[in-house]
Amino acid sequence: MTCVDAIRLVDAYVDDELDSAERSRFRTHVATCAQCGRAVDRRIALQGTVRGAPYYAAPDRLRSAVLARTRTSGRPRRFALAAAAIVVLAIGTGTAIRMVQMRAATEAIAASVVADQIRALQSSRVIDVQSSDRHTVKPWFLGKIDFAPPVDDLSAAGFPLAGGRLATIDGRTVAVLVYQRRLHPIAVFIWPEADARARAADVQAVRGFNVRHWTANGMSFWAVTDANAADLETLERSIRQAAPR
Amino acid sequence: MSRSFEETVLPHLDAAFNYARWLTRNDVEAEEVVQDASVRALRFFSNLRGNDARAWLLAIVRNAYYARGPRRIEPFTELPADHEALLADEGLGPEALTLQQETVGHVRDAIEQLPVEFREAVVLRELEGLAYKDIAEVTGVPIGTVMSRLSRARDRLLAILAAATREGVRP
Repeated sequence: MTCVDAIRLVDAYVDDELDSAERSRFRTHVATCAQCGRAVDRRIALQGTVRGAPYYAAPDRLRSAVLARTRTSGRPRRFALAAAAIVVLAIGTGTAIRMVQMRAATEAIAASVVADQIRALQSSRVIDVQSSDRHTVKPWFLGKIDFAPPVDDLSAAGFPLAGGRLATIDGRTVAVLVYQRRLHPIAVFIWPEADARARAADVQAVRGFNVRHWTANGMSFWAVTDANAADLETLERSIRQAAPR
Repeated sequence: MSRSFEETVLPHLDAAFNYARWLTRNDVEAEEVVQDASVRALRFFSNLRGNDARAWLLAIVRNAYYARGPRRIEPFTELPADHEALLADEGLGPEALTLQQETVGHVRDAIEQLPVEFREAVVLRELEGLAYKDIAEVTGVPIGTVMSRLSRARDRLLAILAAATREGVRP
């Protein structure tokens, strides 16, 4: 093992993340190399120092608040029963309640897709497969999700494809296509929708992001961007036009 | 689901708060983040299945933190130009670090100066004792990225602590 290898592995060594073969090669090197030995010592000393940093335990009032919420909302089974009861009630009492519920569900999904996009932007992992070629992006999703999202070349309409990634929305893994609109990425979250009756597009603004939702060809589309809402409308039209009829 | 939320998740509330407190660097905001996270955790509790409850909860804390908005994005602070020299052999030795162990505030300040991705890697590793694979799960990046973030975070901590020592800064 060279010094370069040893320095590369020093963190994994002090964190006990090397397998036994690597660990013994590492030790052999360090035993004969004073400089790498000192690097290990410095890392271990630093660990000791950092472990002396404050550990912030949850304040009692926070613990009580969370406990109270746990008890009022009950266990999952009761919660599911309650939710089922609400659905039955809504069906029984008519469209108004159902629409309120659908609105709440729509807002919850919009919040989830925006949160995912923020997270992706923050972690610089907006795309996992980077390609402007739909023939590269489309197969990337195969085997990762149980449906084939429509991947269209919209560059003529001013939306070059930047790539794709996966996201988890409301417990299911969905496809995300990222198109570029000038300097702004537009993420389009796509998943199959059982109830894909054509509906007017739903437009929301969530935490400074514009969100546009529509359904087409059995798929639910949620487009999210920090660019303006009109771009999303153009994008929806382009995707609809690109779709097979 | 045989075990309740109370038995499975609540034992990790301290871990959740500690993580949130280091992410936000602020008591009030940390409480809000954990409150948000507990709502989400209750909602998604059925997704936990056999997974490690602590890593699962910490991932939710992280999501709740980032869901608070893009204002969270921090500028990437550059290391001082002479950091290479600080890291070299004649830099901060184990003895100097040992001397600093009593200055908890000093260490806290150094960790708080790290960019958030580095900070969380250090906190999850050194204060929560998570393995790389758990840190990878919580932060949603590959294990290799966890390792390189930890490595760079520690280089920075050494540089920050060494710079503070040279300037004779004491709390």
